[in-house]
Amino acid sequence: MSLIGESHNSVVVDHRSAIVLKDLYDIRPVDLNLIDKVGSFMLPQVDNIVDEWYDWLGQQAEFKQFFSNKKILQHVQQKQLDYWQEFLAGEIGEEYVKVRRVTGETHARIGLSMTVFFAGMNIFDRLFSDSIQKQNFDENEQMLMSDAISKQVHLDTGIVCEMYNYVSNELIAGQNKALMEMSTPVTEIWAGILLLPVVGIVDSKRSQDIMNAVLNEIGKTNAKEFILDISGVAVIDTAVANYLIKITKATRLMGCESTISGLSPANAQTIVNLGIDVGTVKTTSTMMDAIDKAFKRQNLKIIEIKS
Amino acid sequence: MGSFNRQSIPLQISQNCIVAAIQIALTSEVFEQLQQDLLAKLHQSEARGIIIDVSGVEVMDFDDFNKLRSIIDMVKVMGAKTVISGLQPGLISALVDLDANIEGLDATLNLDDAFVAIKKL
Repeated sequence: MSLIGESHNSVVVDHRSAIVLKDLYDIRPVDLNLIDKVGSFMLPQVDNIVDEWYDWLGQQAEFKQFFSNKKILQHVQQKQLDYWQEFLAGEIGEEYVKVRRVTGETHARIGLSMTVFFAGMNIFDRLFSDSIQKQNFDENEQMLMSDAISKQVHLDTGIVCEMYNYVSNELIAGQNKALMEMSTPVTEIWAGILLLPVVGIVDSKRSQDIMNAVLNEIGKTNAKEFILDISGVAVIDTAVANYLIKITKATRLMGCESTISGLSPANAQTIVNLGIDVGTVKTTSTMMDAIDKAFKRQNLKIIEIKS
Repeated sequence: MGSFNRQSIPLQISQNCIVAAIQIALTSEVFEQLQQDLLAKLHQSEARGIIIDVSGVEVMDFDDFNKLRSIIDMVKVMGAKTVISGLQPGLISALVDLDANIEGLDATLNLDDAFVAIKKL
């Protein structure tokens, strides 16, 4: 049981290599050879397939939202042609996977819905299959070719979905961090005096965040006084009170005296009625009182300048 | 074994205070040794207070903390005061989470403040 300050975990991207992914989607060299073979007759007509696909996309509501600009449309179409050329090359290497991840991230960041992306990939799969059936291969080979294409389409879709997931997780992590920083605004109001107004609901997670933020700030600023203002805390119950008392005791271990301010008449009654032992914790009813007392302990005084 | 590879914490006297700076990994032997040395030094030097500097300690578990506490209590029985200096924030929040008894301890952020605090006590 060792005691080390907790570290915040960050969002991690799925780092599976091309080899692992190929194995996962059961894509064998045979499949890649088939895709290469499909490529030999498919490549010249990829233009038509992409055009056909855009006919489909034109019917979707998203089309207007994302591709109303001609230039963007042309750029995206070119990208798509490049993509299918890579796709039909029958090679899945690290570079290919990397490009797919970037593509996925782009899709997620522009806010294209995953449903439309999925549907789009599905349509492509179907268009390829149709095109294969028009060729003169025996039925068995046609099926194997369609299968191979489907596998690779699924792999690509899988990577893109993973990136969708990553982007949204990243967003959540960012929001969490912002929320934590917003909920613990420890400020140095005077040299050596820290103030933290707590607003809203205090739970165990938040009280821990508050404690960490305060202790770090004391370490940074070498503060001797800390005022915790709880006039904005909605409900005081036994748990909340105990958290706050713990925080004040912890700061003492860093040579910093704590005062809890903002104990309204209602709060004072609740605390006494709940039988909470505030012990040696200093409390005041208003923040002004707390600041005044802190100043006195630090031998500071604010005086009016007579003009 | 024995005195050969015994790790001990150096004790210095400054401004009539004994300063013990812990800069090695904490084990029960280290504590045992510190306890013996510190109390003996206190007895012979008649210092008025003890400063335990733990700024070099990054990891301390519940048992370590309790041993440290009992040393502080022993010093108190011998009529001297103890101030802990340089506790790390991460360490404190962990101790509080574990409901360690931190009441009645005097602590400061650095050595300078510790000397000031000892004089006030």
